[in-house]
Amino acid sequence: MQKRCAILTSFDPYAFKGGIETYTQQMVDLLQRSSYEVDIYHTQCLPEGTDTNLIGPSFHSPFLNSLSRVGQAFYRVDHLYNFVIAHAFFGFAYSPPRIPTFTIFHSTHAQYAEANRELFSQEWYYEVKYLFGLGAEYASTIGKRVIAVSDAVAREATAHYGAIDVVSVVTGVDQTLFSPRPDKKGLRDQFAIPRDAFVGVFLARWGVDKAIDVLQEVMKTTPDVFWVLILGTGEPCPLHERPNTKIIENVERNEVATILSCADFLFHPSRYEGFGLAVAEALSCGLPVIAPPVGIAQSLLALPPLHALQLPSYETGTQQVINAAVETITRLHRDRDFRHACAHHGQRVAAQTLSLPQWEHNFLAALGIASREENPEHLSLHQDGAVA
Amino acid sequence: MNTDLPPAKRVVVIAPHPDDESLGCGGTIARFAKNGAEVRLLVVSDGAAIEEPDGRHEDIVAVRTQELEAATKILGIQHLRTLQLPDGRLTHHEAQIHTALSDYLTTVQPDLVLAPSLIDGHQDHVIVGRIALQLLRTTPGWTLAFYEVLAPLRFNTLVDITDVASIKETAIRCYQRSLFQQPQLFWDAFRALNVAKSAFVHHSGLFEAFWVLHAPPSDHEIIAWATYGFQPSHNGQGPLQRVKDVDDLVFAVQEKMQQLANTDQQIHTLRSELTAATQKLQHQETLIAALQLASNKSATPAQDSRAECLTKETSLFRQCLEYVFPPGSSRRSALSVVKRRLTQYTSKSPNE
Repeated sequence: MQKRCAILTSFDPYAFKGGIETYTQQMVDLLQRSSYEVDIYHTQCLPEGTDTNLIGPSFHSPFLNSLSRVGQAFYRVDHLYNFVIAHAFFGFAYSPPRIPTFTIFHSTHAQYAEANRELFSQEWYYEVKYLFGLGAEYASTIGKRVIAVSDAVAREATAHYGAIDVVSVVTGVDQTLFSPRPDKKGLRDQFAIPRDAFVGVFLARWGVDKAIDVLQEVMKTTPDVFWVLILGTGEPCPLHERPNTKIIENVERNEVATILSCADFLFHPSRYEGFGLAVAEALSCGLPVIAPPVGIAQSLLALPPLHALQLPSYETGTQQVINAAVETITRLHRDRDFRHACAHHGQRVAAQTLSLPQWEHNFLAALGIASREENPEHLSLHQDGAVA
Repeated sequence: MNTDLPPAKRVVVIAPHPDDESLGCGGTIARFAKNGAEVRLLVVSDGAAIEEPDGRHEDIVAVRTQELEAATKILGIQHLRTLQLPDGRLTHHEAQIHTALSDYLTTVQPDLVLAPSLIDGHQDHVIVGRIALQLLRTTPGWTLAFYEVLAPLRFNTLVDITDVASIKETAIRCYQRSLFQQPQLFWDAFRALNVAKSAFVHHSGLFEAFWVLHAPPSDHEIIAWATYGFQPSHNGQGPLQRVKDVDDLVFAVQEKMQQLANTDQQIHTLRSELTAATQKLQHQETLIAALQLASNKSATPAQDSRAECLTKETSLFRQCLEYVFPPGSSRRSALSVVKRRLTQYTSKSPNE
C-alpha cells in the first residue's frame, strides 16, 4: 500500500520564498525519496470537497480563522495518511489529532513577542504572545510530537508551552548549493558589485523585528563598507538611493548562494531567530557572520575564533550591539587573517553540524522512520494522542 | 408530563414576527380565549424582511399587519400591540426590546407569558426568548412557557389542541404573504409537528409543546435541560477551546485599548482647546487692565463688573486645569470636567 504523509502549513510553499517554504520543499523531497506520497494543505488549498461553511469554531483573528479551516478540514481526510506534519501553529485546529502528528517549531511566538515587545504596539504583543503563542502554538503541542529546529527553540517550547519530549533536529543547509565559489571578482561583476569593495550582506525581510534600525545605524558608521541587501517579502526598503548600497529583491536560492559567495561578511542583527537560515547558509558559503546570540548563531558562534563575531545580547542595550557590530566589522576589514580564519572555521562548523544528509537522517529518525526502506507503520498514538 | 399549562386569567403572548404566535401556539391561544382568559399579543418586529414578489411593489409591513390583525381576531386575542422593530435585526435592539417588554409586563401583570424558545432556529426568536428569560429573573408574578416554531423544543408540557385545531388552521391561512403564498404547506408542516407529539401521550390528537418555567433557571440548568444533562468535561474543552478563549480575550483587550486610545485623543484635543481658551481669557484680562491704566482713572461700574466676571472665569479655568492635569486622575472624570468647562466657556459670546 502506498505510504502517505500530509503537510499542514500556512502559505503555498511554491509561491512564497521564506525559511518555512524552503524547509517544506526539503521535507517533501526527503519524504518522496523515502517512498512517501506527500500532500500539502494550506490556507489556499484545502482538502477537496471541503465545505468551509461547516467548519468551526470561528475566531476574531482572520489569520487563525483561515488556519482553523486547514486543521478542521484535515479531519475529513486524515484516515488517508500514515502521519501528518504541521509547521508552527499552522495545524493547531487539527486538535485532538487522530493520526500521528508532528509539529515543527521554527521559533516560538511567545519568545519572539518578548524579544520584540518594545518595538511594536501592545495590541501586537498580546496577539503574538498570547493568541499565536500561548494559545495556538500551545495547542500544537498537545498530543503531538514537537520537533524543534534548534536547541534554543526546543528549550523555549518547553519553557513557554510545557512541551514534553521535544526533539531537536537542527536544520540542514544544501551545501552543494551553499558553498564557497571561486572567482569572487567575476561573480561581483554579475551583480554590479565593485570588485575591490569590502562587502557586507544583509539577508532578511525588511522589517523592524529583523533589527533594520540597527542595520541602518551600522551602515551610517561604516562608510567604507559596500552593502548588499538581499530582501525577502517585507516592508518597502527606503535605501534604494543610498550610495555604496545595492538592494536585490525576490532572489532565487541559487542566486542567494552566489551573492553570499562574493561578499566579505554577513551582518544578521535580528533580535530574535528560532534558527536563522541566513546565518547557516552564509557560514556554509565561507562567510564570517556577525550576529547576536539568537537562534543557531548562539551555539555556532560560541567558540573561538568565531566567538569574536558574536555580538552582545540586546538585553545589554541596542547601542552596545551597534558599537560592537561596528567594531567587529572594522576588525574584519582590517585584519585579513582574522577574516580568513573566521571564514574557514565557520565553514567547517557548518559542514559538521548543518549538513543536509545529517538533517535528513535525524529528521527521519524523529519521525520514527529509521531508514528509508523501513515502513513507519509502527507509529501509533497513546491514549492522550501523543505519538508513541 | 404535564398535559396543560397552568391556569391563567391573563396571558401575554410574545411573538418575534407576525405569524409566530399562530404557528407556535395558535391552538393554545385559542383554548385560553375560548375559556375566557384575556389574551394579549405583543409582536416585536415589523415583519419587513420578506422579499417583494417579482415586478410588484407593495407595502409588506402593511400587508403583514393586516394578516396579523385578521389572525388575531380568529384566535380570540383581545389586545394587540406591535413594537415595529426591524425584522431580522432584533439583536441590534436588545435594550429597547428589554425595556418595552419589561414595561408591558409590569403594566399588564399577566399570569402566564408565552415566548419563543431559546433554541429556536432564528436569531430574532432567540433574542426575544432570552429577553423573556431575563425578565423572569427580575419581574415577579408570572410563569414563563417557551413555545417552538422553527426548532423542536425539549418540553415538559403538552397542550391538547385537537378541538381547536381548525381555529389554528384558519389563523395560519390568514398569513398568505407572510408564509410565502403557501399557508397550506405551513399548516401541513405544523399540523405534523403537533400530531407527532401524540406519541408522547399515547393517544391521537394534536398537541403544542411548551417548556414551562415557574422559577428562573440558571444558565447551567438551561444547557443541561436542552441537552438532556450534557456536562462540559475537562477533556471536551480541549486545547482548541483554549485558543478560542484566548482569541476572545485578546480581541476584547484590543478593543478596549482602541477605545482608550480614542479617549486619549479626545482628551488631548480638549486640552488644546482649553489651553487656547485660557490664553484668550488672559489676553482679555490684560486688555481690561490696559484700558484702566490708559484712562488713568477708576473703572466705570460696567468695567468693574466685566473685570470681576473675567477674574472669576480665569479662576474657574485654573481650577479646571489643575483638576485635569495632575497625574493619576481618572481619565473619564477629567474628560467630563473639561467638556463641562468648555461648554460653559463657549456658550458665552466673544463680546460678553
